[in-house]
Amino acid sequence: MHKSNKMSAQVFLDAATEIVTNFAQGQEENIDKAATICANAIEKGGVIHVFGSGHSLGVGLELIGRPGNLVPIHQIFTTDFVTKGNVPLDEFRDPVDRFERRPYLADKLYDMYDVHKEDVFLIISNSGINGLVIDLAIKAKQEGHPVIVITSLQHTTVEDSRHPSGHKLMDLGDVVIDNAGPHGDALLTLEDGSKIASISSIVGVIVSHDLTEGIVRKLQEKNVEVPVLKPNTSDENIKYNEELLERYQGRI
Amino acid sequence: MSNHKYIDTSLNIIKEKLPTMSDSIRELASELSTTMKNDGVIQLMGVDQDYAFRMELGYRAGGLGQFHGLDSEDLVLRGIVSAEDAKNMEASELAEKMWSIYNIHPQDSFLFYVSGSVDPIMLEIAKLAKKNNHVLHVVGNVVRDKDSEIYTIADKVIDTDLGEIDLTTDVNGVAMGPVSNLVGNLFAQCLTLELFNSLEEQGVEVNVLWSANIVGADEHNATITDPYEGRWNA
Repeated sequence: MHKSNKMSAQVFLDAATEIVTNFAQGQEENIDKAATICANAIEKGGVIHVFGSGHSLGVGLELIGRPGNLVPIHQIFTTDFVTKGNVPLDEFRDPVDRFERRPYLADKLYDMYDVHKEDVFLIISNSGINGLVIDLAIKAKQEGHPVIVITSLQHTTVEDSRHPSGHKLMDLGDVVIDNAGPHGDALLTLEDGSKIASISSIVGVIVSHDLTEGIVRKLQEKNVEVPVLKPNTSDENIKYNEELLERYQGRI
Repeated sequence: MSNHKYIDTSLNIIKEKLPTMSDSIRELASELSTTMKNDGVIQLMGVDQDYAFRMELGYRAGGLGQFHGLDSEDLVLRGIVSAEDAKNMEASELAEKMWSIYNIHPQDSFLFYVSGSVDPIMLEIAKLAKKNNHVLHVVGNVVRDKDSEIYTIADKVIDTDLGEIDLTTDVNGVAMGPVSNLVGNLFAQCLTLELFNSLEEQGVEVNVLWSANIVGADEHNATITDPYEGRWNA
Protein backbone atom coordinates (compact mmCIF):
# COMPACT_ATOMS: atom_id res chain seq x y z
CA MET A 1 0.00 0.00 0.00
CA HIS A 2 1.28 3.46 -0.91
CA LYS A 3 2.01 5.95 1.89
CA SER A 4 2.54 9.60 1.07
CA ASN A 5 0.58 12.77 1.04
CA LYS A 6 1.84 13.61 -2.44
CA MET A 7 0.61 11.10 -4.95
CA SER A 8 -0.13 11.88 -8.56
CA ALA A 9 -3.15 10.55 -10.38
CA GLN A 10 -0.79 8.10 -12.07
CA VAL A 11 -0.21 6.39 -8.72
CA PHE A 12 -3.94 5.80 -8.50
CA LEU A 13 -4.12 4.56 -12.08
CA ASP A 14 -1.30 2.08 -11.40
CA ALA A 15 -3.10 0.83 -8.29
CA ALA A 16 -6.37 0.57 -10.24
CA THR A 17 -4.61 -1.45 -12.96
CA GLU A 18 -3.47 -3.90 -10.30
CA ILE A 19 -6.98 -4.29 -8.88
CA VAL A 20 -8.60 -4.76 -12.29
CA THR A 21 -5.95 -7.32 -13.24
CA ASN A 22 -6.58 -9.19 -9.98
CA PHE A 23 -10.31 -9.10 -10.65
CA ALA A 24 -9.86 -10.41 -14.20
CA GLN A 25 -7.56 -13.22 -13.10
CA GLY A 26 -9.52 -14.21 -10.03
CA GLN A 27 -13.15 -13.91 -11.06
CA GLU A 28 -13.32 -15.40 -14.53
CA GLU A 29 -15.00 -18.57 -13.28
CA ASN A 30 -17.57 -16.66 -11.20
CA ILE A 31 -18.39 -14.34 -14.09
CA ASP A 32 -18.87 -17.41 -16.26
CA LYS A 33 -21.21 -19.02 -13.70
CA ALA A 34 -23.19 -15.80 -13.31
CA ALA A 35 -23.44 -15.40 -17.08
CA THR A 36 -24.77 -18.97 -17.39
CA ILE A 37 -27.46 -18.33 -14.77
CA CYS A 38 -28.52 -15.09 -16.46
CA ALA A 39 -28.47 -16.53 -19.98
CA ASN A 40 -30.57 -19.49 -18.88
CA ALA A 41 -33.09 -17.12 -17.30
CA ILE A 42 -33.26 -14.90 -20.40
CA GLU A 43 -33.74 -17.97 -22.59
CA LYS A 44 -36.81 -18.82 -20.50
CA GLY A 45 -38.18 -15.28 -20.74
CA GLY A 46 -36.80 -14.18 -17.40
CA VAL A 47 -35.62 -10.80 -16.25
CA ILE A 48 -32.58 -9.91 -14.12
CA HIS A 49 -33.48 -7.63 -11.21
CA VAL A 50 -30.51 -5.51 -10.19
CA PHE A 51 -30.29 -3.87 -6.80
CA GLY A 52 -27.49 -1.93 -5.19
CA SER A 53 -27.96 0.81 -2.63
CA GLY A 54 -25.62 3.74 -2.03
CA HIS A 55 -22.84 3.91 -4.59
CA SER A 56 -23.57 0.37 -5.73
CA LEU A 57 -26.52 1.89 -7.58
CA GLY A 58 -23.98 2.58 -10.31
CA VAL A 59 -23.81 -1.06 -11.41
CA GLY A 60 -27.51 -1.03 -12.22
CA LEU A 61 -27.21 2.28 -14.06
CA GLU A 62 -24.49 0.70 -16.14
CA LEU A 63 -26.71 -2.21 -17.14
CA ILE A 64 -29.86 -0.49 -18.35
CA GLY A 65 -31.29 1.78 -20.96
CA ARG A 66 -28.63 2.49 -23.56
CA PRO A 67 -27.11 0.89 -26.63
CA GLY A 68 -25.10 -2.20 -25.79
CA ASN A 69 -27.27 -3.06 -22.78
CA LEU A 70 -29.39 -6.18 -22.50
CA VAL A 71 -33.07 -5.31 -22.40
CA PRO A 72 -34.37 -7.86 -19.84
CA ILE A 73 -32.75 -6.03 -16.94
CA HIS A 74 -34.78 -4.26 -14.27
CA GLN A 75 -33.11 -1.86 -11.87
CA ILE A 76 -34.58 -1.56 -8.41
CA PHE A 77 -34.10 1.91 -6.90
CA THR A 78 -34.45 2.51 -3.17
CA THR A 79 -36.20 5.75 -4.10
CA ASP A 80 -39.03 3.56 -5.44
CA PHE A 81 -40.09 3.26 -1.78
CA VAL A 82 -40.84 6.99 -1.85
CA THR A 83 -42.12 7.45 -5.40
CA LYS A 84 -44.49 4.48 -5.02
CA GLY A 85 -45.78 5.93 -1.74
CA ASN A 86 -44.55 3.25 0.67
CA VAL A 87 -42.21 5.43 2.76
CA PRO A 88 -42.35 9.17 3.51
CA LEU A 89 -39.36 11.20 2.31
CA ASP A 90 -38.34 12.29 5.84
CA GLU A 91 -38.12 8.69 6.94
CA PHE A 92 -36.25 7.75 3.78
CA ARG A 93 -33.68 10.51 4.35
CA ASP A 94 -33.28 9.89 8.11
CA PRO A 95 -29.56 10.63 8.70
CA VAL A 96 -29.41 8.50 11.85
CA ASP A 97 -31.46 5.40 11.05
CA ARG A 98 -30.11 5.13 7.53
CA PHE A 99 -32.50 3.52 5.12
CA GLU A 100 -30.04 1.18 3.44
CA ARG A 101 -29.06 -0.27 6.80
CA ARG A 102 -32.59 -1.32 7.75
CA PRO A 103 -33.82 -4.91 7.68
CA TYR A 104 -37.37 -6.20 7.19
CA LEU A 105 -38.19 -4.13 4.10
CA ALA A 106 -37.63 -6.71 1.39
CA ASP A 107 -41.21 -8.01 1.31
CA LYS A 108 -42.43 -4.51 0.49
CA LEU A 109 -39.73 -4.04 -2.10
CA TYR A 110 -40.32 -7.42 -3.75
CA ASP A 111 -44.07 -6.82 -3.94
CA MET A 112 -43.63 -3.51 -5.77
CA TYR A 113 -42.52 -5.27 -8.94
CA ASP A 114 -43.73 -7.84 -11.43
CA VAL A 115 -41.32 -10.63 -10.52
CA HIS A 116 -41.64 -13.95 -12.39
CA LYS A 117 -40.45 -17.31 -11.13
CA GLU A 118 -37.73 -17.57 -13.78
CA ASP A 119 -36.18 -14.20 -12.81
CA VAL A 120 -32.73 -13.73 -11.31
CA PHE A 121 -31.53 -11.23 -8.68
CA LEU A 122 -28.18 -9.46 -9.00
CA ILE A 123 -27.45 -7.71 -5.70
CA ILE A 124 -24.48 -5.43 -5.25
CA SER A 125 -22.96 -4.09 -2.07
CA ASN A 126 -19.30 -3.29 -1.58
CA SER A 127 -19.54 -3.89 2.16
CA GLY A 128 -22.21 -6.59 2.00
CA ILE A 129 -23.30 -5.88 5.58
CA ASN A 130 -26.35 -3.61 5.29
CA GLY A 131 -29.89 -4.65 6.18
CA LEU A 132 -31.75 -3.87 3.00
CA VAL A 133 -29.55 -5.72 0.50
CA ILE A 134 -29.24 -8.76 2.78
CA ASP A 135 -32.98 -8.77 3.36
CA LEU A 136 -33.70 -8.70 -0.36
CA ALA A 137 -31.25 -11.55 -0.97
CA ILE A 138 -32.99 -13.62 1.73
CA LYS A 139 -36.38 -12.86 0.18
CA ALA A 140 -35.19 -13.75 -3.32
CA LYS A 141 -33.78 -17.06 -2.07
CA GLN A 142 -37.03 -17.82 -0.21
CA GLU A 143 -38.95 -17.23 -3.45
CA GLY A 144 -36.66 -19.61 -5.32
CA HIS A 145 -34.68 -17.13 -7.44
CA PRO A 146 -30.98 -17.50 -8.13
CA VAL A 147 -28.99 -14.73 -6.43
CA ILE A 148 -25.78 -13.33 -7.83
CA VAL A 149 -23.76 -11.14 -5.47
CA ILE A 150 -21.07 -8.56 -6.20
CA THR A 151 -19.14 -7.52 -3.09
CA SER A 152 -15.68 -6.85 -1.69
CA LEU A 153 -14.54 -9.96 0.16
CA GLN A 154 -11.72 -8.00 1.80
CA HIS A 155 -14.27 -5.59 3.25
CA THR A 156 -17.16 -7.84 4.11
CA THR A 157 -15.12 -10.46 5.92
CA VAL A 158 -13.86 -8.01 8.56
CA GLU A 159 -17.05 -6.05 9.33
CA ASP A 160 -20.08 -7.22 11.30
CA SER A 161 -23.42 -7.72 9.59
CA ARG A 162 -26.09 -5.11 10.29
CA HIS A 163 -28.85 -7.64 9.58
CA PRO A 164 -30.47 -9.37 12.59
CA SER A 165 -29.89 -12.77 10.97
CA GLY A 166 -26.15 -12.19 11.18
CA HIS A 167 -25.88 -13.03 7.50
CA LYS A 168 -23.72 -11.09 5.13
CA LEU A 169 -24.61 -10.71 1.48
CA MET A 170 -21.82 -13.12 0.49
CA ASP A 171 -23.55 -15.89 2.46
CA LEU A 172 -26.61 -15.69 0.23
CA GLY A 173 -25.22 -15.74 -3.29
CA ASP A 174 -25.42 -18.72 -5.62
CA VAL A 175 -22.45 -16.98 -7.17
CA VAL A 176 -20.33 -14.41 -5.33
CA ILE A 177 -18.23 -12.10 -7.48
CA ASP A 178 -15.42 -10.44 -5.55
CA ASN A 179 -14.69 -6.93 -6.85
CA ALA A 180 -11.12 -7.33 -5.60
CA GLY A 181 -11.27 -4.01 -3.78
CA PRO A 182 -9.72 -3.35 -0.35
CA HIS A 183 -11.39 -2.87 3.01
CA GLY A 184 -12.81 0.66 3.09
CA ASP A 185 -12.84 0.87 -0.73
CA ALA A 186 -10.15 3.57 -1.02
CA LEU A 187 -6.83 2.48 -2.49
CA LEU A 188 -4.14 4.92 -1.38
CA THR A 189 -3.05 5.43 2.22
CA LEU A 190 -2.18 8.93 3.39
CA GLU A 191 0.36 9.77 6.10
CA ASP A 192 -2.34 10.04 8.76
CA GLY A 193 -3.56 6.54 7.94
CA SER A 194 -6.73 7.61 6.16
CA LYS A 195 -7.28 6.35 2.64
CA ILE A 196 -8.16 8.22 -0.52
CA ALA A 197 -9.53 7.39 -4.01
CA SER A 198 -11.95 4.48 -4.23
CA ILE A 199 -12.16 1.62 -6.67
CA SER A 200 -15.47 -0.24 -6.30
CA SER A 201 -17.47 1.88 -8.76
CA ILE A 202 -14.74 1.54 -11.36
CA VAL A 203 -14.67 -2.24 -11.02
CA GLY A 204 -18.48 -2.12 -10.89
CA VAL A 205 -18.57 -0.73 -14.43
CA ILE A 206 -16.15 -3.42 -15.59
CA VAL A 207 -18.11 -6.24 -13.93
CA SER A 208 -21.30 -4.92 -15.56
CA HIS A 209 -19.97 -5.09 -19.09
CA ASP A 210 -17.82 -8.19 -18.56
CA LEU A 211 -20.94 -9.97 -17.30
CA THR A 212 -23.04 -8.61 -20.18
CA GLU A 213 -20.43 -9.85 -22.63
CA GLY A 214 -20.50 -13.27 -20.95
CA ILE A 215 -24.31 -13.45 -21.14
CA VAL A 216 -24.26 -12.48 -24.81
CA ARG A 217 -21.68 -15.18 -25.59
CA LYS A 218 -23.78 -17.80 -23.74
CA LEU A 219 -26.93 -16.81 -25.64
CA GLN A 220 -25.06 -16.94 -28.93
CA GLU A 221 -23.76 -20.43 -28.08
CA LYS A 222 -27.37 -21.50 -27.48
CA ASN A 223 -28.54 -19.87 -30.72
CA VAL A 224 -30.96 -17.80 -28.67
CA GLU A 225 -31.82 -14.27 -29.77
CA VAL A 226 -29.58 -11.73 -28.04
CA PRO A 227 -31.84 -8.93 -26.72
CA VAL A 228 -29.36 -6.06 -26.79
CA LEU A 229 -30.27 -2.45 -27.57
CA LYS A 230 -28.73 -1.13 -30.78
CA PRO A 231 -27.54 2.45 -31.36
CA ASN A 232 -30.38 4.69 -32.55
CA THR A 233 -28.58 5.38 -35.80
CA SER A 234 -31.21 4.07 -38.23
CA ASP A 235 -34.98 3.64 -38.43
CA GLU A 236 -34.42 -0.10 -38.49
CA ASN A 237 -32.48 -0.02 -35.21
CA ILE A 238 -35.03 2.28 -33.58
CA LYS A 239 -37.87 -0.09 -34.55
CA TYR A 240 -35.86 -3.08 -33.31
CA ASN A 241 -35.27 -1.40 -29.94
CA GLU A 242 -38.91 -0.40 -29.57
CA GLU A 243 -40.07 -3.95 -30.21
CA LEU A 244 -37.59 -5.34 -27.70
CA LEU A 245 -38.66 -2.89 -25.02
CA GLU A 246 -42.32 -3.60 -25.72
CA ARG A 247 -41.72 -7.31 -25.15
CA TYR A 248 -40.65 -6.67 -21.55
CA GLN A 249 -43.11 -3.85 -20.89
CA GLY A 250 -44.17 -3.67 -17.23
CA ARG A 251 -41.33 -5.89 -16.05
CA ILE A 252 -38.32 -3.64 -16.63
CA MET B 1 -6.99 -13.75 -17.54
CA SER B 2 -10.52 -13.38 -18.88
CA ASN B 3 -10.91 -13.80 -22.61
CA HIS B 4 -13.64 -11.16 -22.56
CA LYS B 5 -12.84 -8.16 -24.69
CA TYR B 6 -14.21 -5.57 -22.27
CA ILE B 7 -11.50 -6.34 -19.69
CA ASP B 8 -8.82 -5.52 -22.28
CA THR B 9 -10.69 -2.36 -23.24
CA SER B 10 -10.88 -1.32 -19.58
CA LEU B 11 -7.19 -1.86 -18.94
CA ASN B 12 -6.43 0.13 -22.06
CA ILE B 13 -8.60 3.01 -20.81
CA ILE B 14 -6.81 3.00 -17.45
CA LYS B 15 -3.30 2.71 -18.88
CA GLU B 16 -3.59 4.77 -22.07
CA LYS B 17 -6.63 7.06 -22.02
CA LEU B 18 -6.60 8.54 -18.52
CA PRO B 19 -2.91 9.55 -18.53
CA THR B 20 -3.67 11.77 -21.55
CA MET B 21 -6.17 13.65 -19.37
CA SER B 22 -3.90 14.10 -16.36
CA ASP B 23 -2.89 17.72 -17.12
CA SER B 24 -6.55 18.71 -17.56
CA ILE B 25 -7.48 16.98 -14.32
CA ARG B 26 -4.70 18.79 -12.44
CA GLU B 27 -5.79 22.16 -13.84
CA LEU B 28 -9.42 21.48 -12.98
CA ALA B 29 -8.41 20.43 -9.47
CA SER B 30 -6.49 23.64 -9.02
CA GLU B 31 -9.53 25.70 -10.00
CA LEU B 32 -11.94 23.68 -7.86
CA SER B 33 -9.61 23.98 -4.89
CA THR B 34 -10.39 27.71 -4.92
CA THR B 35 -14.05 26.88 -4.33
CA MET B 36 -13.18 24.59 -1.44
CA LYS B 37 -10.69 27.03 0.09
CA ASN B 38 -13.40 29.68 0.10
CA ASP B 39 -15.80 27.33 1.92
CA GLY B 40 -17.72 26.74 -1.24
CA VAL B 41 -19.47 23.56 -2.27
CA ILE B 42 -19.06 22.04 -5.71
CA GLN B 43 -22.48 21.42 -7.24
CA LEU B 44 -22.43 18.23 -9.31
CA MET B 45 -24.79 17.12 -12.02
CA GLY B 46 -25.01 14.15 -14.35
CA VAL B 47 -28.21 12.85 -15.92
CA ASP B 48 -29.27 9.24 -16.57
CA GLN B 49 -26.15 7.07 -16.72
CA ASP B 50 -24.01 10.18 -16.11
CA TYR B 51 -25.48 10.24 -12.59
CA ALA B 52 -22.59 7.87 -11.80
CA PHE B 53 -20.08 10.72 -12.02
CA ARG B 54 -21.98 12.72 -9.43
CA MET B 55 -22.10 9.65 -7.15
CA GLU B 56 -18.38 9.13 -7.56
CA LEU B 57 -17.58 12.54 -6.05
CA GLY B 58 -20.45 13.16 -3.64
CA TYR B 59 -20.15 11.70 -0.13
CA ARG B 60 -17.82 8.99 -1.36
CA ALA B 61 -15.49 6.72 0.60
CA GLY B 62 -11.99 8.10 0.14
CA GLY B 63 -13.45 11.37 -1.12
CA LEU B 64 -13.81 14.95 0.03
CA GLY B 65 -16.77 16.58 1.75
CA GLN B 66 -17.58 19.73 -0.16
CA PHE B 67 -19.76 18.29 -2.92
CA HIS B 68 -23.50 18.29 -3.51
CA GLY B 69 -25.50 16.61 -6.25
CA LEU B 70 -28.30 18.21 -8.26
CA ASP B 71 -31.05 15.93 -9.49
CA SER B 72 -34.37 16.79 -11.15
CA GLU B 73 -35.88 13.69 -9.50
CA ASP B 74 -35.65 15.59 -6.20
CA LEU B 75 -38.63 17.65 -7.38
CA VAL B 76 -40.76 14.51 -7.56
CA LEU B 77 -39.31 12.89 -4.44
CA ARG B 78 -40.02 16.02 -2.42
CA GLY B 79 -43.52 16.38 -3.79
CA ILE B 80 -42.85 19.69 -5.51
CA VAL B 81 -44.11 18.42 -8.86
CA SER B 82 -45.75 15.15 -9.75
CA ALA B 83 -43.94 12.74 -12.06
CA GLU B 84 -46.67 13.36 -14.64
CA ASP B 85 -46.39 17.16 -14.42
CA ALA B 86 -42.61 16.96 -14.64
CA LYS B 87 -42.95 15.33 -18.08
CA ASN B 88 -45.00 18.24 -19.39
CA MET B 89 -43.19 21.22 -17.86
CA GLU B 90 -40.61 23.36 -19.61
CA ALA B 91 -37.00 22.59 -18.71
CA SER B 92 -36.48 26.20 -17.64
CA GLU B 93 -39.36 25.99 -15.17
CA LEU B 94 -38.07 22.73 -13.69
CA ALA B 95 -34.57 24.19 -13.41
CA GLU B 96 -35.91 27.25 -11.55
CA LYS B 97 -37.73 24.96 -9.13
CA MET B 98 -34.60 22.87 -8.62
CA TRP B 99 -32.53 25.98 -7.98
CA SER B 100 -34.97 27.05 -5.29
CA ILE B 101 -34.85 23.81 -3.28
CA TYR B 102 -31.07 23.70 -2.90
CA ASN B 103 -28.90 25.81 -0.65
CA ILE B 104 -26.53 27.30 -3.21
CA HIS B 105 -24.05 29.85 -1.87
CA PRO B 106 -22.33 32.56 -3.94
CA GLN B 107 -18.91 30.92 -3.60
CA ASP B 108 -20.14 27.54 -4.93
CA SER B 109 -19.04 26.31 -8.33
CA PHE B 110 -20.61 23.80 -10.72
CA LEU B 111 -19.17 20.65 -12.26
CA PHE B 112 -21.25 18.73 -14.81
CA TYR B 113 -20.60 15.46 -16.63
CA VAL B 114 -22.09 14.80 -20.07
CA SER B 115 -21.44 11.65 -22.09
CA GLY B 116 -23.99 12.25 -24.86
CA SER B 117 -26.66 14.81 -25.64
CA VAL B 118 -26.95 17.63 -23.13
CA ASP B 119 -30.05 17.26 -20.98
CA PRO B 120 -32.34 20.30 -21.34
CA ILE B 121 -32.73 20.73 -17.57
CA MET B 122 -28.98 20.55 -17.10
CA LEU B 123 -28.55 23.26 -19.71
CA GLU B 124 -31.06 25.48 -17.91
CA ILE B 125 -29.28 24.91 -14.59
CA ALA B 126 -26.01 25.82 -16.33
CA LYS B 127 -27.57 29.08 -17.54
CA LEU B 128 -28.83 29.85 -14.03
CA ALA B 129 -25.38 29.17 -12.63
CA LYS B 130 -23.81 31.63 -15.08
CA LYS B 131 -26.57 34.19 -14.54
CA ASN B 132 -25.77 34.03 -10.82
CA ASN B 133 -22.04 34.45 -11.44
CA HIS B 134 -20.93 30.94 -10.53
CA VAL B 135 -18.01 29.19 -12.19
CA LEU B 136 -19.15 26.32 -14.41
CA HIS B 137 -16.96 23.40 -15.49
CA VAL B 138 -18.16 20.75 -17.90
CA VAL B 139 -16.54 17.39 -18.54
CA GLY B 140 -18.17 16.20 -21.74
CA ASN B 141 -17.95 14.10 -24.85
CA VAL B 142 -18.26 17.23 -26.94
CA VAL B 143 -18.64 15.59 -30.35
CA ARG B 144 -22.00 14.09 -29.34
CA ASP B 145 -23.61 17.52 -28.94
CA LYS B 146 -20.99 19.99 -30.11
CA ASP B 147 -23.43 22.82 -30.82
CA SER B 148 -24.93 22.74 -27.33
CA GLU B 149 -24.88 26.11 -25.61
CA ILE B 150 -23.44 24.51 -22.49
CA TYR B 151 -20.04 24.26 -24.15
CA THR B 152 -20.15 27.97 -24.99
CA ILE B 153 -21.17 29.25 -21.58
CA ALA B 154 -18.95 26.96 -19.49
CA ASP B 155 -15.84 28.55 -18.02
CA LYS B 156 -13.91 25.37 -18.71
CA VAL B 157 -14.69 22.37 -20.89
CA ILE B 158 -12.73 19.14 -20.68
CA ASP B 159 -13.45 16.98 -23.70
CA THR B 160 -13.45 13.25 -22.96
CA ASP B 161 -13.22 12.66 -26.72
CA LEU B 162 -15.06 9.33 -26.69
CA GLY B 163 -16.47 9.51 -30.20
CA GLU B 164 -19.97 9.51 -31.69
CA ILE B 165 -21.00 6.06 -30.46
CA ASP B 166 -19.96 4.87 -27.03
CA LEU B 167 -19.61 1.18 -27.87
CA THR B 168 -16.19 -0.39 -27.83
CA THR B 169 -16.74 -4.12 -28.08
CA ASP B 170 -18.02 -6.32 -30.90
CA VAL B 171 -19.10 -9.79 -29.82
CA ASN B 172 -19.85 -11.73 -33.00
CA GLY B 173 -21.72 -8.80 -34.50
CA VAL B 174 -23.34 -7.51 -31.30
CA ALA B 175 -22.09 -4.04 -30.36
CA MET B 176 -21.64 -3.38 -26.65
CA GLY B 177 -19.25 -2.08 -24.02
CA PRO B 178 -19.79 1.63 -23.33
CA VAL B 179 -16.88 3.27 -21.52
CA SER B 180 -18.18 6.73 -20.65
CA ASN B 181 -18.78 5.86 -16.99
CA LEU B 182 -15.51 4.01 -16.72
CA VAL B 183 -13.77 7.16 -17.93
CA GLY B 184 -16.02 9.32 -15.72
CA ASN B 185 -15.36 7.30 -12.59
CA LEU B 186 -11.61 7.16 -13.19
CA PHE B 187 -11.63 10.89 -13.89
CA ALA B 188 -13.51 11.52 -10.64
CA GLN B 189 -11.08 9.53 -8.52
CA CYS B 190 -8.04 11.15 -10.15
CA LEU B 191 -9.70 14.53 -9.58
CA THR B 192 -10.22 13.69 -5.89
CA LEU B 193 -6.53 12.90 -5.53
CA GLU B 194 -5.39 16.04 -7.38
CA LEU B 195 -7.82 18.20 -5.39
CA PHE B 196 -6.31 16.81 -2.21
CA ASN B 197 -2.82 17.56 -3.55
CA SER B 198 -3.75 21.08 -4.59
CA LEU B 199 -5.33 21.95 -1.25
CA GLU B 200 -2.44 20.46 0.69
CA GLU B 201 0.07 22.43 -1.39
CA GLN B 202 -1.84 25.58 -0.44
CA GLY B 203 -1.62 24.69 3.24
CA VAL B 204 -5.27 23.77 3.59
CA GLU B 205 -5.97 20.91 5.96
CA VAL B 206 -8.06 18.29 4.19
CA ASN B 207 -9.77 15.31 5.75
CA VAL B 208 -10.98 12.38 3.73
CA LEU B 209 -14.32 10.61 4.15
CA TRP B 210 -14.27 6.98 5.25
CA SER B 211 -16.49 4.26 3.88
CA ALA B 212 -19.78 4.52 5.77
CA ASN B 213 -19.54 0.79 6.34
CA ILE B 214 -16.64 0.68 8.76
CA VAL B 215 -16.82 1.16 12.51
CA GLY B 216 -16.60 4.81 13.54
CA ALA B 217 -17.16 6.18 10.04
CA ASP B 218 -20.38 8.05 10.81
CA GLU B 219 -18.67 10.05 13.55
CA HIS B 220 -15.52 10.69 11.49
CA ASN B 221 -17.47 11.71 8.40
CA ALA B 222 -19.70 14.04 10.40
CA THR B 223 -16.65 16.08 11.42
CA ILE B 224 -16.06 16.71 7.70
CA THR B 225 -19.63 17.34 6.60
CA ASP B 226 -21.07 19.14 9.65
CA PRO B 227 -19.60 22.54 8.66
CA TYR B 228 -21.59 22.20 5.42
CA GLU B 229 -24.79 20.86 6.95
CA GLY B 230 -27.77 21.77 4.82
CA ARG B 231 -25.50 22.38 1.84
CA TRP B 232 -23.79 19.07 1.02
CA ASN B 233 -27.06 17.26 1.74
CA ALA B 234 -29.55 19.95 0.65
